[in-house]
Amino acid sequence: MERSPGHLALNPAQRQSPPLRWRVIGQYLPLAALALAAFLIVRNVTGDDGTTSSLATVGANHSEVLAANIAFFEDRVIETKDSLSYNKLTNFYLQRVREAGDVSDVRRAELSATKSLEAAPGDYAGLVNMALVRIAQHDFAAAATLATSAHEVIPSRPDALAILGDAQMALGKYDEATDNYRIYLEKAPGFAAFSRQATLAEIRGNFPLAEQFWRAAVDAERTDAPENSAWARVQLGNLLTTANRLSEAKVEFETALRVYPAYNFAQAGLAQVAAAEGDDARATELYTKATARVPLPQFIIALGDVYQRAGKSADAQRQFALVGAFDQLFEANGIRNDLTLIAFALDHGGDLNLALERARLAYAERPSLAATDLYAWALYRAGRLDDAAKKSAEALRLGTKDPTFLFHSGMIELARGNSATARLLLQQAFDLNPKFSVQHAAELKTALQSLKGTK
Amino acid sequence: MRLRKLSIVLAASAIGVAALGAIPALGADHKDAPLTKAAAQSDINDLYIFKGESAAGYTAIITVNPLTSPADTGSLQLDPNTVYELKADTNGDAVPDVSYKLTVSGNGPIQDVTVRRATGPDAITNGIAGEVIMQGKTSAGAGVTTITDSTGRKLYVGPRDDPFFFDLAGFQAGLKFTGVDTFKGTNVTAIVFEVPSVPTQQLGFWATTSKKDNLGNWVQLDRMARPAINTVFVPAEMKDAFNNNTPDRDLAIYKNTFIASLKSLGAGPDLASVLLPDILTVDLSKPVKYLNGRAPADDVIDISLQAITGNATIGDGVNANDRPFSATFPYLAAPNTASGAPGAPNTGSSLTSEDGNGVSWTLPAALIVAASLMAAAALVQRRRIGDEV
Repeated sequence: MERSPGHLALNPAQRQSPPLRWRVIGQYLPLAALALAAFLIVRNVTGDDGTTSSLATVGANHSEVLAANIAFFEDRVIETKDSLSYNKLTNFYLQRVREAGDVSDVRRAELSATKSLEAAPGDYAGLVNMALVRIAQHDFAAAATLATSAHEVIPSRPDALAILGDAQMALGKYDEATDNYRIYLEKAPGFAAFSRQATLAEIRGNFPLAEQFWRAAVDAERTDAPENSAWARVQLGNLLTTANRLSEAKVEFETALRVYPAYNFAQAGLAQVAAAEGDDARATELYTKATARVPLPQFIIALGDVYQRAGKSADAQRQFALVGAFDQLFEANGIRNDLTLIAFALDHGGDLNLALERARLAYAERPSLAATDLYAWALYRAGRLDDAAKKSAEALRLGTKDPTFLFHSGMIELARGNSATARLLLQQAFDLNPKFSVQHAAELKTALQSLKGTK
Repeated sequence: MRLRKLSIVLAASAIGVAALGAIPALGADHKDAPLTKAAAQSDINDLYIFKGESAAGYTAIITVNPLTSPADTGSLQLDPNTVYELKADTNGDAVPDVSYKLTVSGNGPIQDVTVRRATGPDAITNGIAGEVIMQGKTSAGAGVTTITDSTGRKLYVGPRDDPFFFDLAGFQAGLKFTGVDTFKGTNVTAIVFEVPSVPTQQLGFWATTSKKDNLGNWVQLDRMARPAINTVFVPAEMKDAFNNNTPDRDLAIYKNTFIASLKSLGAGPDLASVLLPDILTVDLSKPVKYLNGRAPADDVIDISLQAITGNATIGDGVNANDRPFSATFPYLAAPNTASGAPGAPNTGSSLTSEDGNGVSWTLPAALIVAASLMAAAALVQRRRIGDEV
């Protein structure tokens, strides 16, 4: 599927009044690509050799430092009760959610952000922090409202627009998100802007641009914020894995692990590569490592899938049994409608009616492409094929080259008896990555073979 | 609300990516990207100009990286992409005549540091210019690496206890002070720079940080002179532009804005040309104490509150820093450590509305601060010499 032209360019209203310097040279290139080029020229970046010699690394005591930071400010706020200390604390909690995966920190962050806004009502940073908390809780509508309020407090500061864009991405408002990300890129070209542009490019199915932006993000903070750089490198690795460029992906994950030893997302990335290569033993080992320290549901599920494929059904069931606990855990910490858990219920024999209702709710609350695709898949499982087809087309409306989306769409069309369309979609998924999923790759192949010779 | 410049620490908190587009697995819901750290490194908290050990010169301190916990102090550093400047106006025209431009290279707790001295047009620009006068290393931990040159200039760059002291929560609660020092036990990165002699005793100072934009042009991110000017008098939507501006244009661009702010606070318009240009002035031939310059020990909060009320006992209840200052270079206390005893609680006398000194404690905090600054500025004006800007 080709991407629609100009989707990274400006909308007509904005095209009329870009800053002068952009107007002069920016007529022929999408702005995002232009900014990237300018950045690369300024920074004299010629490429990323991936050697560790030039890489700053995350210290071995990283998590202890984070814990000490949290302890310090937890202690301080009892006495100081000021917004700045609460803001620091909120940010450290959110960082620990990201790194250690303990979702009870989301609730702590929420309380801390609440206290900050009590100390300084309407304060820009307090609003921004609360918006970040709402995003972590998947309450994207509330996040958008908070980010908009923050933007109204200090319109010149771009951060609120980036977070507004994040919320809009989840709400399926991609044009609005694109506009806000563009402003953010202009005002704050750097790691956070590049990673958002990369995500936009992924959504639009433009892998080459996504790859460039991920590499720019990796480079932007490779020396002064190695954790950030490692995170972006894992995203790049994931992109390469999706594109079935497994050996390149492996290099990125391995480099990320040198930068950030025992980084669970990098371990999981390597596990996914091993699984795609059919090395179940290695995949099992790596997923076990990735889930040992930080038990994230998506990697527990992936480990179970590998066990299942390897014929170790009891081991698989043991992993799958763990996933149910996350439903309660997430709910207890205000995290709504997690797509990973809904997908698990749909694909691993959960309560279908409940899963369908949750998928519908997720779609109603925040119709991102991923939520839309998931709802389509739930409708398919429930046998509502026409509705499923409609939603699936909606999920693919931007030309996203996600083999899972395409697989879902193809299976839906197959069930509807539209062999030609099904074959086209399944072939696209297969061409992108025949090993896209431990659970579904064989199913994709079988379905395609059954369609051989059909028109 | 804040009396000094803490705006960018706030901005730094905001950079989180929640990237959807979960590839390759459908399962990944959204991703939270790390925060970016560079902003705090360019965020100027405070500027101090005072008499240190050098009888014939002055000492300047610029602090960045606000509200750093002891645990994070080991990773404090300056931003290699930022130019840190101390700009000095020697003839009262609000245009820098001399600029000391500090840059670092490398990353980590010990960085290579270079100071250039720029004059004339080079002093005005934000970019790297001027003659290299000092080179050396930044300091880590409690260590003090003093960089000197042949003329007797001294430089220290490294982690120190934050010299600022203030009950921020009390301020935020509408001046219900409890004497708690918000900044107790926290560290900053301090740039301590000493000049042994000056050609003229009346000087005006401000500090700036600048970075290259994506087209390679230097852009000023932040500037700092007297505490609270931007915070109190500049509307939210203009704050960043004010930080980008230069003092010589302050009157032309912001005079009407300040008059409007003053008017909304019930004050006359005349003070606008006192508050602007935003420069920390000092007459070194007189005792240097805020409002004439600013020494680390000066209780700028209380001085400001007292200036407006005329009540010499009014204040936020935090009357001194949690750690004592040294009489010798680099003056600021060593950084707080995780294991070190963080000093006795700083609980100065708390002030309440029952004082009955004719002060309405229910006044909006910004109004009090604004008024205090007007008074402070008026004092400065009386002291300023050659002030025909």
